[in-house]
Amino acid sequence: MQGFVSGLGLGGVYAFLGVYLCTMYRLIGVVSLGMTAVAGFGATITAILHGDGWPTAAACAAGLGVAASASAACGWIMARFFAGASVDKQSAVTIAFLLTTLGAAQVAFGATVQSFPAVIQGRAFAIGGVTVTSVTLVCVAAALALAIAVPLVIRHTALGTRLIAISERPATAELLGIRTSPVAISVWLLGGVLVALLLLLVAPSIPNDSASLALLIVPACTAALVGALRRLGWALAGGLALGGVQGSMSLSKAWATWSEAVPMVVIAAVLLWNERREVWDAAR
Amino acid sequence: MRHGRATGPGRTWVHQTAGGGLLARRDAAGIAAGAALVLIASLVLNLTSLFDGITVVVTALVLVGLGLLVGGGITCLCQLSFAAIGAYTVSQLSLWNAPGALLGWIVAGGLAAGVFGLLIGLTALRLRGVRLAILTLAFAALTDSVLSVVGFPGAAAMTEVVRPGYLMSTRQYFIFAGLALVAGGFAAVVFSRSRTGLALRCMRSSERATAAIGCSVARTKLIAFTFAAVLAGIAGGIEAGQSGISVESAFAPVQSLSLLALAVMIGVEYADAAVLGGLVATVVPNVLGDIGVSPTYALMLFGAGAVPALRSEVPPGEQLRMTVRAWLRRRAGRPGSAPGGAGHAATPPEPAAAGAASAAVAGPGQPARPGAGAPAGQRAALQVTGVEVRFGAVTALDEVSLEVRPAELVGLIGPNGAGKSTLVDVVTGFLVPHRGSVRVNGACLDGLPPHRRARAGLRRTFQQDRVPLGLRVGQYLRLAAARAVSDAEIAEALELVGGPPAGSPAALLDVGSRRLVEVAAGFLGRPGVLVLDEPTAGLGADAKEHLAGRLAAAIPRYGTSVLLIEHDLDMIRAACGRVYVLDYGRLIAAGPPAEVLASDAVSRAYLGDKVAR
Repeated sequence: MQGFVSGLGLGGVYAFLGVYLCTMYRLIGVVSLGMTAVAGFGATITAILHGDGWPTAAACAAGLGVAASASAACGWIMARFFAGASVDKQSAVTIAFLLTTLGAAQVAFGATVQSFPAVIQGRAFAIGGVTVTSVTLVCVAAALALAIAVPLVIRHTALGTRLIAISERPATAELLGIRTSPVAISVWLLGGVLVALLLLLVAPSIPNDSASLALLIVPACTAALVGALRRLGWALAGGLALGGVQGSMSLSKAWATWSEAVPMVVIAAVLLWNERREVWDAAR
Repeated sequence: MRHGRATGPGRTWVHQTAGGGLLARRDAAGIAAGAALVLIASLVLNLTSLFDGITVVVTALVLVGLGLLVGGGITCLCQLSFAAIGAYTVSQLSLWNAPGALLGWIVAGGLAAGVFGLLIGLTALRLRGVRLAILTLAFAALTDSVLSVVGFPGAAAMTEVVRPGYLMSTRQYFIFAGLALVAGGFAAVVFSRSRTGLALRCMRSSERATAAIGCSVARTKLIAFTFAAVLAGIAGGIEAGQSGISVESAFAPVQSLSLLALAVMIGVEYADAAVLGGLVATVVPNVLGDIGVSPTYALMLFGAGAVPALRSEVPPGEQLRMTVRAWLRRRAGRPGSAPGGAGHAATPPEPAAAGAASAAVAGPGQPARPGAGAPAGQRAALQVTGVEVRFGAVTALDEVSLEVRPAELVGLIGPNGAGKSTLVDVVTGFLVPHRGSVRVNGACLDGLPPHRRARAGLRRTFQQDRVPLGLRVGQYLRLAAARAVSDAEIAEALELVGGPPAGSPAALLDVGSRRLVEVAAGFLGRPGVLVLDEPTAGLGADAKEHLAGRLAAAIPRYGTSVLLIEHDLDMIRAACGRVYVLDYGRLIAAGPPAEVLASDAVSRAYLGDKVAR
């Protein structure tokens, strides 16, 4: 049980990332495989600046600013050069973003783990001998909040109506005078900030070299795929369950080595089930 | 001129192009030149360069396989994981001192990687694009994670992979690796030229179109993944022999991403471009290091370089090839012979000059009507009986029956949404009906997948143009023919429909020309029945009129019956002996065009009750 609860912290991260991946997919039709690499780059800037003696708040602000700028730049490239391209083509471009950012991170920071400021630490509470850390609590709460907030914004605000119009009928939205590019870039920018913030919270307690942060996209995609890239509640549950299961396995000597295999197994199972009728590449 | 030998449609195919004997000599010359280059390089390079050269060779071998997948439009982010499996196998077999020595272990490594390639390929039967990318990235991350825990065999004890005496020196090992690349590259060239290889490149444009010309998409994907993984596994095995002790970082996911970016950027669908890719992947970081810049800048360069490459419809490698070939032709003073020169590319196709093939074509104004008078009792070439399709509560096709007699050109018309394309999908196996039966020349095709129906003599074209952009027109026609065809036969088929020259790169043709290429491809397969789904979309009025006549000429030439779906009623009047009319999924009229088009039921279907009255 302790293993499962410990894993929920990371599960919250997976869930948050998965929910945001689903949100991006629903709103701007792209699966951003470079999301964690770009946000991780910004978060690592914070670690470097903090190590150089910057106050935590200033270092965080600088890191988040870099993540926001880099993410917005990705969004601009996508909106400027790949508007109207297929989901697969746009997502392939995000692989290039992943590689470019990872290359930049390795040039700037090397391939070593960094010393991140511990923004949140300590034990939140314990129930029946099972300890829940503050980081676990915050990550799960953040994922839950995002999964609740996104549908609320989409359904009940004017911005949400615009977002739906843009996502479902971009050409019609443009004809109605809604400019799609700024909105799409904003979705990218917001993603950069939120994910970087989340990574700042958890980076002290996970392998945090740039490649490890970039590869968080794998469990993030696992969560998103559990939600079929659309259903936020399923993505939330999928992320939490994945983290919990990996946490439980990591405490078992026999299974610890294979805990990293869980995302692959889940991805294969979920995708093959969901896509079982996709015999052809095009509907007609 | 010697042509290829087919053992049957869809079976093993010894593929051939112009000048078979010459081609074989060219292949031999290519292998000899590759081997000579390796030997010369081994003599002139110093030891450091030879060591780097082995890395170039290993990378190029991985890229040769990856290039095949990229050429098929498949995104694979785990190519170096296959290489890691090869390296692991070699390390383990060396530790066990297994029989076969290094050469045998490397082959075993390739086979082990091939098994994993086959497994990933199985998932690719349903997954594509970003979903397949995610799965392969997850596999790369998993391999990396497992290797970082268990390590390579012998690594902990610093036990090196044992090399035989004749491969001890770096120079000897370079020659061995170089020759392995020549062999792997040649195998890839042969594969690319084979029916499966061409089908793979065809898949990049459309899996449906690939199946419609009789190629099994599943088989093609599985062979491609397995072959690419075997090449990567062999490369990994060679790498293990070179380094002695393998390290996980050499096979990290980021390295796989980097190779994919390079593959996209350079366009490594061809073996020679893969060697260039290997050189770039090895030399760029080294040069950066030599000038005091971090070699990891290379990752940024490759990533950033892939972005503009992804905007291009034609792979950059193919663009480069086209440019070089055009330049060579200009130098040779043969501008007119440039296949698919820009002159044809941007303009609608002119009807071919009257030739032997088109001698039978009736004048544009008076096209023949093949089969118009065919005896009704004759066995039907295509017999569709009682087809019913429902989508939920909507009945898309309701008890539709029709027949096309041998060498007959029959029209199928109806307003938008009448169910014409749904019927074509049912007939050609892309959609399983709730009820009904399809027979071609008396043979029941029910339950057969599209590629088996195509092999049984039922071909189709699509509403949207599906000519694979990565192929030349002649290559596509040869693939579509699914039999040995001569260059003259290909030229004749193109001339018959008024299509572009065989050497034209499909990517440079306008949509109308590509439609004509599809029609020619359909006939060239000599099917019993060809279903043409709006073949005149994108053609000008003149070209439409000509096509009507040319279809009439092609039908007796190839012994093919045609079911023509068309919106242009003038063309239907001019070309068809009989016509069926669909409306709301039901056949509402059938008979000679003049009578059918004048009927009240058809007027109501097209114009509505009020106007028709």
